[in-house]
Amino acid sequence: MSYLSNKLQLGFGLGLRTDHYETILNEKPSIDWFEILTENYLVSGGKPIHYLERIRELYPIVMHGVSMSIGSTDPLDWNYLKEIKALDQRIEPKWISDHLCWTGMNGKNTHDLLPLPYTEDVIQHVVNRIQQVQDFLGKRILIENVSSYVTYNQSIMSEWDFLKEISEQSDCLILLDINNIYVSSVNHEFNPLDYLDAMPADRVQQIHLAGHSDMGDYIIDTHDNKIIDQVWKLYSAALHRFGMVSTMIERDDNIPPLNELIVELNQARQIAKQILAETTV
Amino acid sequence: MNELLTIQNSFQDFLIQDDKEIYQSIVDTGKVSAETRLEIYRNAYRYRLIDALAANYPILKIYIGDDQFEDLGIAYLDKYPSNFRSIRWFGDQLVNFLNDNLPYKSFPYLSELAKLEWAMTLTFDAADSEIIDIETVKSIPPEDWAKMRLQPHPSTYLLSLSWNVVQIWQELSEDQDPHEPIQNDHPVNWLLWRKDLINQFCSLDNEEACAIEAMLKGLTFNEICEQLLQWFDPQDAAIHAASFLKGWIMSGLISGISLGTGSSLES
Repeated sequence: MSYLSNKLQLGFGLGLRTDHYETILNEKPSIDWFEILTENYLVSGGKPIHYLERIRELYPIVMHGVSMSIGSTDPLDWNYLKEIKALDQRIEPKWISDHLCWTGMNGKNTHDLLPLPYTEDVIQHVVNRIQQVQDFLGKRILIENVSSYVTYNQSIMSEWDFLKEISEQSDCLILLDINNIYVSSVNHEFNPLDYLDAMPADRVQQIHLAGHSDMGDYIIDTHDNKIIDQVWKLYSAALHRFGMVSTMIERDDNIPPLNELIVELNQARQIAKQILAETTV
Repeated sequence: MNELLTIQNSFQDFLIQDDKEIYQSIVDTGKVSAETRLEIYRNAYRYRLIDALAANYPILKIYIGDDQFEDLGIAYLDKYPSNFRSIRWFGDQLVNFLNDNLPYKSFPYLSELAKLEWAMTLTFDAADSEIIDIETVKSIPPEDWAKMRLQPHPSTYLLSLSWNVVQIWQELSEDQDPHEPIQNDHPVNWLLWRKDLINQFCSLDNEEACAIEAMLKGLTFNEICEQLLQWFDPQDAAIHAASFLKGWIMSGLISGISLGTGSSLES
């Protein structure tokens, strides 16, 4: 495939965090786009909406949710989806994403991105629900791979085959979290390149990068640290396979000044630039 | 989907009530045990929600300290697991929890501090609305004043607090040592609202609090005046009500005025 594919290219973005609102408006930093955590803006008014409205005038925005619970056995939450649709219409994001996981059942929400068993039945269950969501929103959504710490005895396939099947059968797009692949590859002892190789390149619309916490025998996905070298290498491998993909860095805790994140974002830019140079020689 | 239902049910029961049935569904590798793997989720569940509780009650956390707040968070989470899509709403029952459960109910100022902080969160992200200026009121003919219904800004909340928790909140917010908790001789009325994106609060005497409460109930200006008759004669009641209204408008508390026939005046 060509390095510059037909995908909508937003460039290099960051998660929009309250700590940075004023800096963004005052300094208009060189960041190509922002990803919002959808649930933070499902409020009636006040500062969150005020700042979002102002920042969206300056930068493209994408919506990233954590509560769709697309793999839950509970019915889809249509009230939540109506709120998503209303925010979609209000701020006109470039796209909407959520996670390949479940977050709760019986009306409860654990607020965690819990893994699914990788089975044919679950594929059909999730595909059906993604299709309902896409029909309701009137657009394709992006589904993100989560980092995980457990494997179910009931699973009969790899995570990458599971994600690939779901994306192709539901015709959704993929938000590929490179750090999550790395975290899970350590926790479940697989080769992360196998994961990348299996991904349908034309569906990989966005990439997430982040830091994590190394606990020795396993890794916890904490989004509170700098991105490590192994994840940068995996990112580089991903761009070799998929071509240029809109990329953003997630930092949810221990949030540094915006300039520090821009330095990290520039590292992603450099990697992409280098790969572009290599592939166009 | 029976298999998925069973897995999700047992996984959630593990997270919420430490039920061990999920263990039989988890692969136990030589490197990391199933127990360790599952504990990562249980710890993440607890601490994410305790962090969310702290985000809604930051001063209560400072007041009772990190360890006590963690104990409170775990106890609250056991009783009120989240059923919200957005974690922002986690903690909506904390005031009731503090009122109803030992050891917290022995320290009634804790629930009042929580009540204040929860109201502040509601004020913070309440719906936006225009506010009217004094000219809007001047444009209403005197004969229509009696039937005016005032529309308070959606961020407006009225609290009645028996303890000096506002003082404690202010001191802790400014990194000062807090005063000892003191119970007031009579409950004090506090008004919370948002102006220019910033939360505001002030204490009110009983007369003005009564008028605000009447406004929040949607009563007409005439009915607000009637409420004030317990303190004033009819003419003074109207003068006081008009004075209150002017102050509310100046403070950015009034979003509109309707005249009872479907017509409304907004800025």
